[in-house]
Amino acid sequence: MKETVVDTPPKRITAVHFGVLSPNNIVQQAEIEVYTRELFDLDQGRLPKDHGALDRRMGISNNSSECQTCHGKLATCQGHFGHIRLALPVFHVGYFKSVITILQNICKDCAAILIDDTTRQRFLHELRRPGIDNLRRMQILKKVNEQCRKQRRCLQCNSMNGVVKKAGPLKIIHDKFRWSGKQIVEEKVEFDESFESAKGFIPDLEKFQKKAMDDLNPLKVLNLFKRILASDCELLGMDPREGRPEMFIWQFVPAPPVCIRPSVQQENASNEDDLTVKLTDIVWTSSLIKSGLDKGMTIVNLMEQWDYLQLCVAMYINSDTPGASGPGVPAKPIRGLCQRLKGKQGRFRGNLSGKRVDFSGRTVISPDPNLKINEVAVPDRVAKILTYPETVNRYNKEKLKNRIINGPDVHPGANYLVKANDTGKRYLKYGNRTIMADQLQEGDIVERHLEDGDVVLFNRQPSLHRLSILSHFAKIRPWRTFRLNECVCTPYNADFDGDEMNLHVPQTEEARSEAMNLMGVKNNLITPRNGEPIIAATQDFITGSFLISRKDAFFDRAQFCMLCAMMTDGDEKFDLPPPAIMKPVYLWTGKQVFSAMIKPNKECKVVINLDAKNKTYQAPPNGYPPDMSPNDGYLVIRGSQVMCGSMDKNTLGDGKKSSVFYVILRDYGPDEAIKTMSRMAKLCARFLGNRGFSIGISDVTPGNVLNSKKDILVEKAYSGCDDLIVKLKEGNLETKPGCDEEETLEMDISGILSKVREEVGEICINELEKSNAPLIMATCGSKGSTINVSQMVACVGQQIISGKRVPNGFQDRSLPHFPKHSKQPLSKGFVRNSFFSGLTPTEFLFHAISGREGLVDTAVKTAETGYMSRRLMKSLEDLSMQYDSTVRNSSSGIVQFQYGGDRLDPLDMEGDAKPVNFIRTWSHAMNITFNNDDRALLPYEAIRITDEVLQPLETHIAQPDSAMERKDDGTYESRLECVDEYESERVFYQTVRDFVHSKAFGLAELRSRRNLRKVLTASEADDAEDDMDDDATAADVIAVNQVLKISEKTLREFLSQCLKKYEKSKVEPGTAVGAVGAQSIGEPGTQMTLKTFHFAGVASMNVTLGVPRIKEIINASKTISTPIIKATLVNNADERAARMVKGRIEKTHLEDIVFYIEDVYQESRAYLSARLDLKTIENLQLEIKVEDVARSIWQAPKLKISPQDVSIVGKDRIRVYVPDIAEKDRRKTKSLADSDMFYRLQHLQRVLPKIVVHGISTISRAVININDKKQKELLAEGYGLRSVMNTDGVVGTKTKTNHVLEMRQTLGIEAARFSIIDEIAETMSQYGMSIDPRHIQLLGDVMTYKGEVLGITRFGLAKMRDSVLQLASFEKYVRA
Amino acid sequence: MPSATNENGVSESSEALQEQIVDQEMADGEFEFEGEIDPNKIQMLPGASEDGTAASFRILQEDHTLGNALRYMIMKNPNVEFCGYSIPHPSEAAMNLRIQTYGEISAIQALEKGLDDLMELCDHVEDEYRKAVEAGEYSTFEP
Repeated sequence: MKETVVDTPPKRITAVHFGVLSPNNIVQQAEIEVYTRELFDLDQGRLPKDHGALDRRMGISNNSSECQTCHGKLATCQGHFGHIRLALPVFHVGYFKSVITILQNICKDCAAILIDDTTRQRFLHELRRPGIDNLRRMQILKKVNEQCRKQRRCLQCNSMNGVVKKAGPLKIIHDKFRWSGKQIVEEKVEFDESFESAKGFIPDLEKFQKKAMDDLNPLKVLNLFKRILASDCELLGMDPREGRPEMFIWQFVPAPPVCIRPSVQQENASNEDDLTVKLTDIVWTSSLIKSGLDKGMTIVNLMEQWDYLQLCVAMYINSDTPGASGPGVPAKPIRGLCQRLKGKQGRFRGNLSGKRVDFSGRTVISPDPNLKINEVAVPDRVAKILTYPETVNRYNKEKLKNRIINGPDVHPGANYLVKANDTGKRYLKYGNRTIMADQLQEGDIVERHLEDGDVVLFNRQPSLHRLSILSHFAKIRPWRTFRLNECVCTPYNADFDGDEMNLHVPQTEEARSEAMNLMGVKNNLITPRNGEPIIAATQDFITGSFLISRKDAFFDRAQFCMLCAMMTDGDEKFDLPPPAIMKPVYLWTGKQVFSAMIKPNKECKVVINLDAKNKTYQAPPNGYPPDMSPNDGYLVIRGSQVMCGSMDKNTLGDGKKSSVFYVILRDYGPDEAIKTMSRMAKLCARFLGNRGFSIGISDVTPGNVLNSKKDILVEKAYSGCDDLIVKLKEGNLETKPGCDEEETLEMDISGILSKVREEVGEICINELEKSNAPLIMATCGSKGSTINVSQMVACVGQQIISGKRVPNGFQDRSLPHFPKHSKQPLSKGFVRNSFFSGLTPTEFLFHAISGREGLVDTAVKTAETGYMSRRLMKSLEDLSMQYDSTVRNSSSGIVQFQYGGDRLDPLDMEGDAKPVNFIRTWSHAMNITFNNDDRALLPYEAIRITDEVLQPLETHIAQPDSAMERKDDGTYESRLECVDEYESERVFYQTVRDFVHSKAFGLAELRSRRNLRKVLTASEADDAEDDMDDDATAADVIAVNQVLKISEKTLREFLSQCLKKYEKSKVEPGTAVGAVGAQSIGEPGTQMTLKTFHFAGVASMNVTLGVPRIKEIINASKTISTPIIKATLVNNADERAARMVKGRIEKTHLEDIVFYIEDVYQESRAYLSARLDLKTIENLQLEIKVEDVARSIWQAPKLKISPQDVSIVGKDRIRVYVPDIAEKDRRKTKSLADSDMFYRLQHLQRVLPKIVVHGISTISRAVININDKKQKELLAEGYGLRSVMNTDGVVGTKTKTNHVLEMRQTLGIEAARFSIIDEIAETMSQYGMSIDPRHIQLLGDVMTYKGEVLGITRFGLAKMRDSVLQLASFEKYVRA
Repeated sequence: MPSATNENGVSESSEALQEQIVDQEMADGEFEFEGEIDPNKIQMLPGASEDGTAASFRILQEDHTLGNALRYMIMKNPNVEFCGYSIPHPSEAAMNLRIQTYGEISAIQALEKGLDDLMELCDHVEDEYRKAVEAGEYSTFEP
């Protein structure tokens, strides 16, 4: 049995320290030296050989033997290290890069650092600054390295230093004379001379002499490193007390304990672990070299052996070292030390972050509406295996005795018995259970079967958010599946098409209570993503509720009683309401059933008030209140009585804050909410079971009207399309801004076709009966949409493949059934048939193509979003709210000073990211306090009472500078505001006040309309002596009171509720805001389709959306697929002005504004002549003159045209001469002299048209767009925010781009943060997914709090984190 | 509540009630039971009103066959305000029945009357059926 939790752990780990092993350490920690490659001693009956890789002094790997060092068995001996002495030093692959860096930093002769003293002091000063973080330190070290690489001569010994670089795998060379050039350098001469004697023997050598460089082999490097001064180590990023550079080079290899590389015995052979094999390899090679050094061997042979040793050691550490594979290397990759740590199955992710567990089960799930919301049905055969250890006490002794007698095979039984003063368990299958039961004592522990009411955890993968694992109460039931109430499908995203789910049984009382209170279903009815309910009615429940609550549903007493009995299992008292219809018979309405469901009897305290629009709300004619909706589409609940409106997705479903359950939850707590929800589940399931709800062919048969109208409409659309096609052929098609003709045609045709589908669909919906099953489902929102219905009945519509009509799969046509170049609707995937009438073969194929695309899309999407979620989680997981209200990461770095800027929890947001829904709170307060005898307040009194309540709260958080007199005189300083940590609180109080004021003003307005005094101020009240309403008629007073009566009780109740809700919605310290935020952004990602990844945005500008866009933003990509700069114009009304600015921004090529560019050959010269099209320039509002064009030609990069060669002829001609080639150059290319000129002219003619003559070269296209406010703005495609901002006619302060990194470069880090937040919010909103802004802000802050934009990738993360373990649990296993 | 509730959530006082019911039915002496009588066949659920005009019963080993017919008969009683039955879970052989009267009679009386009436109805139907069969005024059909 697990120990109960103790709060005083015996040892507390405060820090983990990583360092480098010195050769001395390696030898000292070793128990033995390994120097023979034999593993077993065949003379001694296959015992492991002494000093072999399996020496028993390094521990053991099987159960039969004993460790020779500590004499422990396999379970007790943790193993002991050995070591191998290498004959020659080798590089350590993990430190290879660092070795190169260090070599670059030091002189290759005297090992002194290549920095002069002053710079050195400066760097040291920077490095020693206290509280410096790792990111900063790395930056300094990088600068040191840059500085050193520039130094060509050592400052100490004046020897030459060139470029140090990697040459092939694990080889370093030093190009000593790289900088010498043609100068004659003494050392170089000396170096060259050293080859003289060799040249005599090898004649070919001279050719290669130029490439001769210094080979820095490990031995040389080792000796260099040893000479590095301790004082220099600091500049190399090392602490000489902890480790020195020479430790990066291995002279000894530690041999790990045998137990981590166990051998597998098979009959009389054994299979060795990869590490063991590699160790013997190393030992063998090393011994070969050693004997070679002792007895002599050829240099070539020695070098070969050394290289092999080097490779072996590298493979041992990291088997996918670059260069390790290749010819002569065994094909099967071995599992080196790195590979043991890496990846999903590696040590970190496979064994440390996640483990296999006991007391868990998994099986298929199925639905059961008879269960309560927070229950799960566990099959009895599962319950007999999963156990809970219950300690015997006075109260449960009898029960547990019974369990023991029942034993493991009968359900409420037990599997094991643990006696209090006895170690070991007793299995209850064997032995005399009656005796054991008799001997049961208090304090014994019985591992009893799972029983009704036990707390279990229930989970479905993928666990994308915290609601994917919830705690339920077990209910033991027959058969084989786990069963759950359908309402709880949404958080798990489960359905019953064969899904399996996991179940875990917490094993201690603490764990149970924690599970119940933190993960319990009833405490997780709402999602922390935005505070919307997530556990609510689904599918059939909504259909059932809708059918019951429809206007024409009436029940007699017997039926009404039955419905009431159904929803409660007949064990709750019901106060029958008076019938809605008395004559000729008593009849109750369906809405009364729901009133009874919300509040069954007088004892029930639930009194809710709610106004909500239904899913299909039709507004009443002007001047009528919304509850007069002609289709009964406005739900009004007063005092738990349903007044009007029906129950559908908007009033019962998930994701709606206007839902009945949400209101109950907010006002009366989760217990009442789940009770009501359970009642609803039972009622609807049973009602629908009795009534029956089915679909047949008659439900999808179109009527006569539809059939006739449909053909007319479709034919009309077809001819419309034909007209367009004809227009295109004749060239008469008027293009849309920013589109060519083809694009315009496509847009127009799609418009026509989608319109006809809509029209036909509308007719179809109107024609269907009210009892039509698919229509009922679509109207109440339980499943499907009206489009789906009309696809079945009327017309399937256009098939879309990657955002376009069906593409051409054959030559110039989509299928060989159509003529070539056909753009008719039919040949491009328009399906005019319905699923009922049946698709033609071509239509069927088009539909299948489109369907397949969807399937592929989902498959691709899951992998993509899964990885995105993981990355988000890994970079935000350690952020939590602290007691000082800051959000910090695990190394106490501050990410936010206040969570979300206001410390409010998104979970408790009642309004749209606001803590209180004032309108609902007001009507609720009014309803629960209403008393006809109460005096109505006058407007000024309402304002006074509000101030009375709010002012004491406000005084102690008064703005520090509010006393100062400030006036906005336009200067920057005068507009600076002092913002402190109470800003958000002040704002909240102000909004409360504003709301009450709006009510008071409303009341005043009402009074004046009824000829009463407004009385908005106290002085006004004083004027009117005693009773103000004396002179008014009683009728007027009553009328005002009936419309809006504010009593003091109401107002005070309202204010206290608002303040209470605000206080309750603050984030508790310790909340894992980061993890919740990551899930809130990652989880909706899985619901986004990649399909619409190019969305036809405004003005034909395509913007990347969906998962690819989110990925771009959080990766902080340098290049994004659709960069768009949005520029506000100074003159946003005039078309011409806009066109002019557009001309200034959009890049214009020479070819766009010329009639021709021709080559002209004359006797003495040749030139290109271009004639400008001045009219076009004029039309395009371009501000270009001939001179400008000439200038841009000679300024064009890379062409090297001199200004003299460009001449202007007349007012619109430009000549570009090809100059004669200078004499000395000509000599070189004598034979080609003439053709040279020709070729150069040809070349020029090719490149000249593409010269940018005007505009910003990085902006490929600009489009004038008319925004929501009917103002013109400019959308520019491309980079160059800075240039656009500085363009005349653009308001620089209101110009932004969707490219985060460019915002960072141009406007700074705060702008980048805002841009990240805006872009993510925008992308999410495009898919109708609401995420609380606080989550996105947190992500934005994490990406920017280090001062630069860090992507959520392994590179960005490495800059955010210093902890090795945190990085290892992500993707950085090896230091790079 | 906890002390007065046994494992099925049925109040103990209901056992006395059941005996009373069974006794009465025995005293009427109209039926002959075959096999054993289960004294727990009808249990009273907690939450009955104090004056006994409203109560819920659990009838074991019964389903809609009895439930709907019984509910129908009880609803016919003009003294009954509310009567409904429910099967809490299909894998449990039990049926819950709730009766609320206007206050003239107790819920138990209403239940008894309902059972009696139902039996009478069944007897009547059987009698009529037998009479009709014996009268033989029906056509037969051999396939």
